[in-house]
Amino acid sequence: MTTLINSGSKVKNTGFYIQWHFLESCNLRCRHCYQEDNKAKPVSVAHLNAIYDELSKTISTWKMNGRISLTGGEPFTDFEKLLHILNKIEEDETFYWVGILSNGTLIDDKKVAELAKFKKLKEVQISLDGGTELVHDLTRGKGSFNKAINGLEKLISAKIPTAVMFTLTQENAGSVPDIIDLADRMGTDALTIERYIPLGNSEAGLLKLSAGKLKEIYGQVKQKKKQIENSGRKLKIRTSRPLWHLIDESLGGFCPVGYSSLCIMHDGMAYPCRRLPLPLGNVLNDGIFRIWYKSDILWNIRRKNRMKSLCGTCDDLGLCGGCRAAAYAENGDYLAQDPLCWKYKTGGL
Amino acid sequence: MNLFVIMQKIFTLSDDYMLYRGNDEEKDFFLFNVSAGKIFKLNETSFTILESFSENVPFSIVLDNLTKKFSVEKDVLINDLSDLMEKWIKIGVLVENE
Repeated sequence: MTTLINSGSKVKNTGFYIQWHFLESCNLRCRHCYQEDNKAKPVSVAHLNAIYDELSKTISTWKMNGRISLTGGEPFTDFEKLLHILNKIEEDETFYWVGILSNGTLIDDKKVAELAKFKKLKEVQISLDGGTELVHDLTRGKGSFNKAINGLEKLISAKIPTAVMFTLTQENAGSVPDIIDLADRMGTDALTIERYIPLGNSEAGLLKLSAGKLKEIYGQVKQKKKQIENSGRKLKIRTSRPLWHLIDESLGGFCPVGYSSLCIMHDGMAYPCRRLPLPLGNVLNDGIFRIWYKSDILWNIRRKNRMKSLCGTCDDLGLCGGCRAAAYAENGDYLAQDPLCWKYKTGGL
Repeated sequence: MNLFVIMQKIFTLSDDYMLYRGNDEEKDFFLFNVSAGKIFKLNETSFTILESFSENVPFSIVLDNLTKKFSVEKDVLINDLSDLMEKWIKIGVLVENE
């Protein structure tokens, strides 16, 4: 399906990924969080079912391999609803892969035992924003590191595949070697280092990265990644997003936004990406097909020649395309240049 | 229904459908059903014809425009178009604008 709209990207055309923020309640108040307010509105099971039915219908009509991540807020704040959705997915042929994105702090033995029953649950991703208690808790709050590590250990012990998500900020950049060592030592399957996007109520002034720092960190990560791969250990450090190719041509790739992924919020509102706060329409009122085919925002993202500034004319456009969320956060224009790209930066990085 | 009556009617692309032209080098032409999700690959001629219905003008004017665009006689065009039109109306791609 994506071949209709895709030209020269690395995105494969057989899969479709949905990130479903099925609830908005959260037990933490992280400093880099993009959530605008913390007054979580309850979501009924009937509402969740209606959204799920729309997602399932879409993927099966397109005959694509569906992948879905369930998140919030914090998905473990309402474990019953999380189990309800996991059961629906397990019984439905549409999705072959399910992930959970969590802060890990509410995971206990009982919940892990329940999760272990789901064959389609292929990954639980735990957010760790520092390789040490001090660094992590500075962002996520006192005591959150130990709770997250405890949750992660329980998942690993139960042989549930795990990943760590590290949101890279100016403040925690020095902790990157520690987080890689920690993820490796604990035996997690994967580690993603995602750059912080200054949105919503987050503390942009303190956390915002510079292009030079990003380049430095990506360089460090590449070295560590090679060491781990050469040693045959299992940790996979994920480096498939824009800008990584500037470090090593074998790394990096297009962001799937607009081609093969969609973010759905608890109320059914669809966004290109959770970090790109441009509402596309509500899947319950408009339907995903109408949103997917008619959204000017999505067409502008797909048609790379509509991009402004140096991203649009860059020689690496077929390899990268930049992060549209970062462009929007910095310039208020999702077609502007990726502000953290160091390739064309003049003057200081 | 006689031809004169049809000529005065206005047909337009249904709200359930959307035309899409790929980039110029690839010459990709598609018709999306935005309600059911179906995708139809079109050739350039079909795309051009369907696109001409987006102007919200009587069928006679659509025919005039297409006659000029394809450099064909109007009778020939009517003959070629009749089956296609019938099919598009039947499956709901084109709707009559009252």
